[in-house]
Amino acid sequence: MPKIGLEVHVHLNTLKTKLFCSCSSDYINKDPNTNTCPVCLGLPGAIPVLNEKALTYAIMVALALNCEIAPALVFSRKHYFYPDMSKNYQISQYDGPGSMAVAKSGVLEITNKKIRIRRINIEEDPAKIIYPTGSMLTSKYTLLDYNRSGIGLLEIVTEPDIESPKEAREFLEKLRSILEHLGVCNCDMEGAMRADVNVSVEGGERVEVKNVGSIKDVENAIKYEIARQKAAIIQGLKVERETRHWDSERGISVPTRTKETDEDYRYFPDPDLPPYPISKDLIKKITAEMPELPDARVKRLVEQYGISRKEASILVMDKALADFYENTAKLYKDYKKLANLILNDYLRWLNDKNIRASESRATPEAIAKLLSLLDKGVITIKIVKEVLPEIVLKGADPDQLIKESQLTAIRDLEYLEKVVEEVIKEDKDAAEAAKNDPKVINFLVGKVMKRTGKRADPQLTNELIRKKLGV
Amino acid sequence: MSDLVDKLQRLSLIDLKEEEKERIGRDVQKILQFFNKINELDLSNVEPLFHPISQGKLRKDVAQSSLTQGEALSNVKRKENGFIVGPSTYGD
Ligand SMILES: [Zn+2]
Repeated sequence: MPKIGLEVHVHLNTLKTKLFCSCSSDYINKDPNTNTCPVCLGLPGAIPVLNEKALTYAIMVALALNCEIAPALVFSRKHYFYPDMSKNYQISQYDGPGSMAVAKSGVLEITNKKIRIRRINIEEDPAKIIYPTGSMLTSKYTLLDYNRSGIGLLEIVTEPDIESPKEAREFLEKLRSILEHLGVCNCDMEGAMRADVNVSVEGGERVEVKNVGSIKDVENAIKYEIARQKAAIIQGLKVERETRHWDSERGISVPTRTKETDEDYRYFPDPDLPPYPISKDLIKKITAEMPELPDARVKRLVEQYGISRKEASILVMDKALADFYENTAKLYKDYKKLANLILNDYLRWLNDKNIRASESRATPEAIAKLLSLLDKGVITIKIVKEVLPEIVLKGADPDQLIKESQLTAIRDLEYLEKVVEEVIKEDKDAAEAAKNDPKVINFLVGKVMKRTGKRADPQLTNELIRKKLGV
Repeated sequence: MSDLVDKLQRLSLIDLKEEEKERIGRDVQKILQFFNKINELDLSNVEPLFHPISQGKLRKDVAQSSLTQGEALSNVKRKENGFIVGPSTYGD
């Protein structure tokens, strides 16, 4: 069994400001170096002061992941020389003399398994590096944008309890859902969730793949590393401890800088940031104000709407999807039918376009209306499925759509009877066979559907055919 | 001692000449001896103190205006289209 551990970096992008200064956290799409101050530029003498809400968020995440919370918040300096960090150290957290992580020893449960959380750190993001003449590996020089420098991050580190790419994906999807339910991260935003992936296979050392940008890429990077390391061992080569870089476009990992051991970072408590006590009262207050978490929500959805546990779990994996379901359920009361539509057809279109529920253009009103039209027999289920992408992807109004495309169901008996008679007359053999075989009746229904441009009501058509054939 | 100086050189990303290594090695030796004085004291009953100030403070999550690009880059020697020009990050 391979052993996999993850270090997940989560942007606290729902904070309004950076971690240690009052610069805006809204840095994306700004002109370079227009969102900085002496603190996040790392100018000498500038004093960092912690964002109060960042501490609240870290405690919320620690509680959600069942962690032990430290008695005080202490920051350490992690030293390294790299162009993305002008003061030559990153303000982070460390377990050592006089310092500790904000939280440790937690657990997150996925299907039939508990993944232990080693620790949670609060730290600052470095500046953004641009490689103007090629890639990270080839560019002759770098360009630096400090707009991102100082954005608050949580680093969530697991024990190596994950054993397959699939488990890693499930862990990250659940973690993402927790972060979204807590409101600490808008995980759809560029770079909001990144991970360093540690993979080792039997007979080899641990290899770290740095800075993998999406859940899909984490899954692919692990698959790639397992295959690469196993192949090396089969060939009698050594898998040594090293750091690699994930090339998302080529789908491979490549070796990066030389080995760095822990002490090379020369951690020590940051003298600019005296410890801040985390009182029992503060934890109590935050516990009382915690929003509903995914596990509790799954349970509630099952009880409140009578849907299955599996259905509820899929909804809750994407908070916006579960929100959409519940908002639509306020307007449309056949909860099972609604869940069915959302989990099958609605979700299929989202997946098809590789977008998340938050990016759908459909309103709860539109979906409720669509299902009501179906219930009233104005449209058929076939038409529902046909118009759904227009509603999801373009925000179309069902009434308008159906009126314009003349997609209403045909429930005009006289007309339908005429079409049924025609179809039976044209295919006498099938009509005869249909008397003993319901499958052939369906075949005839299909013919009627085709002739009416899918507008015939299938149930009604079926009844008419049976009546005509005397079965 | 020369191992330690080599390590410090590597960590600081600087190149030292042989005579510099010797001089710095002597300085580092002196600094370590100075701190070793503290080790002579019996501190077994003293709680370590990591900060002279016992409690930090927090700041409200309210944005304030940032520096302009011109201000932010006023001390930067090499710039390009509003970016700071830095060295290559790969290899030597
Ligand atoms: Zn700033």
